[in-house]
Amino acid sequence: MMINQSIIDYLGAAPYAGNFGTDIIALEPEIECVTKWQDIFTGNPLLRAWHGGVVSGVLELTAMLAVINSTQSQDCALISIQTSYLRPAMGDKNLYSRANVVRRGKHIHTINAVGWQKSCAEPVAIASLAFATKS
Amino acid sequence: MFNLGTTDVDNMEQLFDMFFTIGTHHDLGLSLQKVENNIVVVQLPFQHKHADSIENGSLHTSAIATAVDSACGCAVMLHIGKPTTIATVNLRIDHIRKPDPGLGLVVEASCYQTADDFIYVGAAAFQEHSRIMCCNSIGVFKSDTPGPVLSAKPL
Repeated sequence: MMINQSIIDYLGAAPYAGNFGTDIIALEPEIECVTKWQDIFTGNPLLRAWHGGVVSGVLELTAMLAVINSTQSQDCALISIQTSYLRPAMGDKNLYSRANVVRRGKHIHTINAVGWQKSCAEPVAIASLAFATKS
Repeated sequence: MFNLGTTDVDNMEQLFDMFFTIGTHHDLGLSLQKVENNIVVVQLPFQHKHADSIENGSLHTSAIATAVDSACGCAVMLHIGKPTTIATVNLRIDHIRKPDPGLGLVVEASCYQTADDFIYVGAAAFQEHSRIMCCNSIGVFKSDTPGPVLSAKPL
């Protein structure tokens, strides 16, 4: 798996992305990542579940990597994200995420992202995102 | 629009205190600033580890999303007025502008409608010390979902 330099540069330059500890496990046909559980991701301590905002953040990061992979440039900005939460994301379990480019426009990239734990057929959250790009 | 529901802030204070010490909230440094007219005001301070770049960084949109989700959840709990289980059904965030580098945000959230067990919430994040809006958000939450209740009693 050859990760392009723009992605490496982005992950190295964004402290928050590093804070997630997200690893890329596939680039083709769609970018796929895994984020290992950390206690700082706790939303509900009684359920020991992932915080919804963190789940959204992981999907956003995966989508951002898909945009960078598509444009070979870090010059993109998130305009909007809509996340639907389908199941609880349980703590102590990794969160897998995948993003695909729905449309690569001249100014806007539209991305769909999905996150799961047990199986991709049982997603915990899905998101639709729009990024402003200059490619 | 923002005056629906019943609130019992005194009973909620302890719950909010606990709410803001757990996991993600603690990591983000989130704090409840005030509750006024059913509007929850939460502060997200700037921290380098949550910046979008090493040099001259602004708060990352993912950190903002987490703060908005938490502020909305807080508004829902305030609206319900007692500890109960809640779940985010969906959340839309429009990022209007990046906060200036090194500056935190203030998130204001309130419930604007309810129907059955569904609570509809609006939120906006402003750059601290100003009224410059950085993002706007709407979300749907469900109350009385399965699972243990986040109680105000010590865990």
